[in-house]
Amino acid sequence: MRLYRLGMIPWQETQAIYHALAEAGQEALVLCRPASRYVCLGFHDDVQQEVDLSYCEENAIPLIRRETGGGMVLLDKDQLFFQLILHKDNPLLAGRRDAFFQKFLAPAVATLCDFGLAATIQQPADIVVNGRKISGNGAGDINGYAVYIGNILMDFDRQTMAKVLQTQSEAFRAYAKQSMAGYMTTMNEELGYLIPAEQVEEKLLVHFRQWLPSLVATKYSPQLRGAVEKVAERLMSAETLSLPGKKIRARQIKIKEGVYVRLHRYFDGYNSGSAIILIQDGIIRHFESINMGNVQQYDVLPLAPYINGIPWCDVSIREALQRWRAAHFDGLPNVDCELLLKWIIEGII
Amino acid sequence: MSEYVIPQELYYTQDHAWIRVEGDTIRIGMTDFMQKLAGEVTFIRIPRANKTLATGATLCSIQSGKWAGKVKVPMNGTVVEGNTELTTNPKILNDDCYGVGWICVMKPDDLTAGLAELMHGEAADRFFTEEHAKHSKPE
Repeated sequence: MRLYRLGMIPWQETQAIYHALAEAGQEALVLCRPASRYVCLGFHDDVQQEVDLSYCEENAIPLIRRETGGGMVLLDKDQLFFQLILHKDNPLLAGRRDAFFQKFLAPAVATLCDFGLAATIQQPADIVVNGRKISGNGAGDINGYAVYIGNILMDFDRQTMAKVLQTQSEAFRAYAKQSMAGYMTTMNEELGYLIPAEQVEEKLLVHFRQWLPSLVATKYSPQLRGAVEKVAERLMSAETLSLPGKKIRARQIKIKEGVYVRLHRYFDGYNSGSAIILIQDGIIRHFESINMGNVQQYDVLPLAPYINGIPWCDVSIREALQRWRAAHFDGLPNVDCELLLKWIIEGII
Repeated sequence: MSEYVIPQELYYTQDHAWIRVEGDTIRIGMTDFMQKLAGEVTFIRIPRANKTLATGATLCSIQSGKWAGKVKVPMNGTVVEGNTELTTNPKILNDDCYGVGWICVMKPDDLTAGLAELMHGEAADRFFTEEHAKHSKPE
């Protein structure tokens, strides 16, 4: 199997390289980093829903769409990429698609452990240190090849990540940023200093070689670079970027496996407001209503203690709403728990 | 890899699409084998009606977890109808991949020639037996 150790390369090539290799029918492992920051959409992300395009344009942050799964991310030089391209019939791929992440991520986990970090895999496809995500990953089928991609966050610019998100609300943007601080980490934050990327890459390669001993160092030829540039043009084209994507009624941002922040809009014809909700492993960990102080003549602010900590499901939320109504508004006719339930569950009224 | 259903009357491609002949059109979907390999489907980008597609081009793409897969066009033709129900409820592909979870209907340019390139009957059985053996190997 070919090994491409590319170091720092033009940003668009870091995504186009594995598409080009799959399209050329080459199995390979690629290690690389982008020379500059960019936004990368997952194959099924909706660009309008996910990205603040005005901010990206004003700040010269380019966009590209990859043909692998996972969500929209901000990528930059402080992230080390590892990308594995395997023919669909490669015996390494036996079993379910998501199960292969266990094997694919093992070298990155071992690398982080080499630096003293207690890294583990959070299924299906995150690497976490003390419960905080330190690596993002995805996979896809390209031209009959299974492509698995991942990164190690040596450092991460949460400020800019929060700004490239399409959030519809500055309060929601601030909460998304806060959640990223709580649920994500980096090697820099864990160790207290920024390790040179070359050192991390060296360790990573040692662990990949233990798993894939047939790796043969291969030059990034002008022919391959030409193919990569052509693929990059396609992935950056307006046609590719505007492909229809997964639409969600409420704005939802995935922070890590099992952790989502959501913005739920409320409008009943007279009053409007919203709620910010953080869900972790199916439990509502944070509920905050915004501009909902006088909806239908009742105050929803005291609702939060009833909602926080309960499962994110109809039954539990209905029970919490009934407890809240009984405690604060017993006997008042206008409290419409079903409407509030719809708002909290479905995300938009 | 658990057990899977492969209806005998259908035609199949190597990337796990099934094809049912319905007069001069074909209905296309994803096999039970592949939907089980993929896991819970969370999104499908279905082809638009009237789109002309060549064999081997991407017919639709599918998201499950962090994996993005594709189903290729089995034969040259024009899309008659995409299953728009999949857009709002992709899980029906897992629940009933040979029924309500169909992906699209196409009108082939040359149905007879197209079918000749697909697997059917014993050839399909052999293919799926090999696929099953491959994906059932111990980790």
